[in-house]
Amino acid sequence: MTDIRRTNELAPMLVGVLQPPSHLWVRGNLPTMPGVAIVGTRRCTEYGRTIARNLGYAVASAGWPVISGLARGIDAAAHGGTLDGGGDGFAILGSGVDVIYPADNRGLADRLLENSGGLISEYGPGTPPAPFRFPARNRIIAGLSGAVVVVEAAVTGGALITARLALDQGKDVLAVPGDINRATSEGCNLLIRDGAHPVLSSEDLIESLERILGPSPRAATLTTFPSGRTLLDDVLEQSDRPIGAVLAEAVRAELTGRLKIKDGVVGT
Amino acid sequence: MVGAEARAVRIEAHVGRSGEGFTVVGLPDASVREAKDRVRAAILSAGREFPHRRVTVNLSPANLPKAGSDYDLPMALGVLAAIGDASPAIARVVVAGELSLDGSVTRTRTAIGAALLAARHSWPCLVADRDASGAALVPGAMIYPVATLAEAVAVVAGRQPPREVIAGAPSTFEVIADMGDVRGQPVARRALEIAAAGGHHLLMVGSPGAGKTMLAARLPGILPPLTAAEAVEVACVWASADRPRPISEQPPFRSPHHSASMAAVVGGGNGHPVPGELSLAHRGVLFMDELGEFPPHLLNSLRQPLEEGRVTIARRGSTVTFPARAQLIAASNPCPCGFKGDRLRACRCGDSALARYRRRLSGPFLDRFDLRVFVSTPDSSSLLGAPAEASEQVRERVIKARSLQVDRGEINGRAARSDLDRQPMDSGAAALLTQAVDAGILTGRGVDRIRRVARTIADLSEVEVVGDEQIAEALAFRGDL
Repeated sequence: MTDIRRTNELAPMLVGVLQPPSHLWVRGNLPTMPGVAIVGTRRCTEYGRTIARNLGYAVASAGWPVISGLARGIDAAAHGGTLDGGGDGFAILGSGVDVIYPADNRGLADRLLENSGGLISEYGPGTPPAPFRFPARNRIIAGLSGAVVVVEAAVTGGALITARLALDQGKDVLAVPGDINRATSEGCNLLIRDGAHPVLSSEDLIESLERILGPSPRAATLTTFPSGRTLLDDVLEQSDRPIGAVLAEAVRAELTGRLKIKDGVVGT
Repeated sequence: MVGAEARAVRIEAHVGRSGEGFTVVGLPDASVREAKDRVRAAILSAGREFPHRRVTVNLSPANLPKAGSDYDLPMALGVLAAIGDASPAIARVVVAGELSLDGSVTRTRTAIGAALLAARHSWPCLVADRDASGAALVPGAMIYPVATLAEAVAVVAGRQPPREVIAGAPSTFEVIADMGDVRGQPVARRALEIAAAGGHHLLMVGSPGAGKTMLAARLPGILPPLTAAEAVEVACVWASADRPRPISEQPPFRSPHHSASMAAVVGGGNGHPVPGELSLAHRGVLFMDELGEFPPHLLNSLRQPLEEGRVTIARRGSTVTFPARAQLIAASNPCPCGFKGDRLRACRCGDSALARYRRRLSGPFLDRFDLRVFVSTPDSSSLLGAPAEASEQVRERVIKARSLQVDRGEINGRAARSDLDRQPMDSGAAALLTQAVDAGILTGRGVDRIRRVARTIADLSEVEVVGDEQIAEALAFRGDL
């Protein structure tokens, strides 16, 4: 098992949190910048699961850490998408970092650890999960995130608690619109009515996040690709990085819809 | 010679008690039948008597058609042995040589093939003096050079020890066209390096004058040198096309014009089948410029040979196989006018013309190209810039990457799905592939291509497990025609 350690390195990020924990327990890594929380109900629909996965992928590809709660449903899908996108995923637990709940997600937790992510909790090792601890951990999720995306949530779910805590901390909340007849969409639709940014697609989410958080971390490295239309050859000529690395980056950017490459011409 | 391979033909000679005449049986063609007069004259010139009795020479197996002048010397030796003038001291010897009327042995195109056959059975091999140093390059060959029929008789009868042969050195590798001359065009350069390292077929699309031909001509210079055995194979193929090529480390480079006939490109011809350009490019490079101008049926008939690494030509009653492990490099304009994606000039093609053009370039043949790259015209500043990396350096990396593949068994360009499945790939790589398929930029069939290319990229950077970085770069060469 990865070493468990106690840290207060994240204290600066948690300043706005109600009753900030004096320290956190960690397995694996810590986020190096405010992340993007992707949260939602455990009893999600296939629609929600797919969206959570795609959004997790998009955010990870853009380079922000993805924060969620390792619960079933939306949380697990978001973590999965993060791994696919090659990003850093962080799970904030309502139990000790050595107690993975639900046990189904043990594999997922291991993969987060293997892929430079981490497991974080304010509870000491061995602490069992308990219903009252989950709402409390939601304030940490909100605290470590620069924005919270709610994918599917009923009006009574923990996801709405996370959204409210985020608003209290002065952070932006985004929500994925859903079927108005479905209970699991009610929470999201309500958030949108009350002013949350609606998320219309992965690209739309990245655009909104860039408005909120500033240019995406991968965009910083994407400076290799100037805006407008340029020949791919010219981009490579002007870059002193290895050709392979720049080409790989171009393809990633293409897959997330940030670049278009056609006939040797790169366009944004 | 059957195809590019020499077959052993046993020469039997019989001298009857009476009568007169000289018959050759065993499916000789006109050129072999003519040997009779050369054999007779050479025997007389060697100071021997030609028997005034009935002479029959049988070329066995009798059902294999024979052609060429290589049977002169063995037939003469056979006749002399039959009349007891040259009782052989050697049980079996491979002999290939044409005779002059004055009894001297002249060179033949089958010497290397004969040496290869002899070496396989550890028989000695008699060839003309001028063929000897080349034939001696065949690993394990025991070459006895002879200048005249009289000398051949003496050697075979054991009256004279065979002369020593000094094996010539194979022509060494020489970079004819250097990568240093290519300015700019980093994408195409990289594609060329990957193609060389993995033996992938490469398609270059770009405007006229973008430098596609220039790039293609530089591929042989960054390929690993041929091994001794490969060099012999190549020399055999060329010999069977009646185009003697010295045994050389240099991979061949062939570039047939799009107006070339099917027989000229794939192989065939009237009567005696000869190898086409595809086989002449065996172990080397076949460059097809203006790919779209080649007739579709020709491209289709290249598909199977490219996959199998050999061409089979069926003739009534027999089939002949020529090796054809060539690496294909093709070039095409992006559109009918040629200027789509050009730096300076605008494309004047209508959408429907463009669609028609691309359709011609699509289809199963295009699937053979693991790497597809768009070649942009370099701009003036890079043309005037510093010389780029030379072929020598690129080749060093290619050789290293190739040796990793040889250790695994097969070069990546020819790796089948089962070979790929044995190659480790990390979860990020697999996820990226799935993502590419889901995003619609890659078809299921394209996945194997990307995996092959990614493996080569990993070999070039000496990475053991293919990761998402390699897959991402490989995707940059997927092309979208």
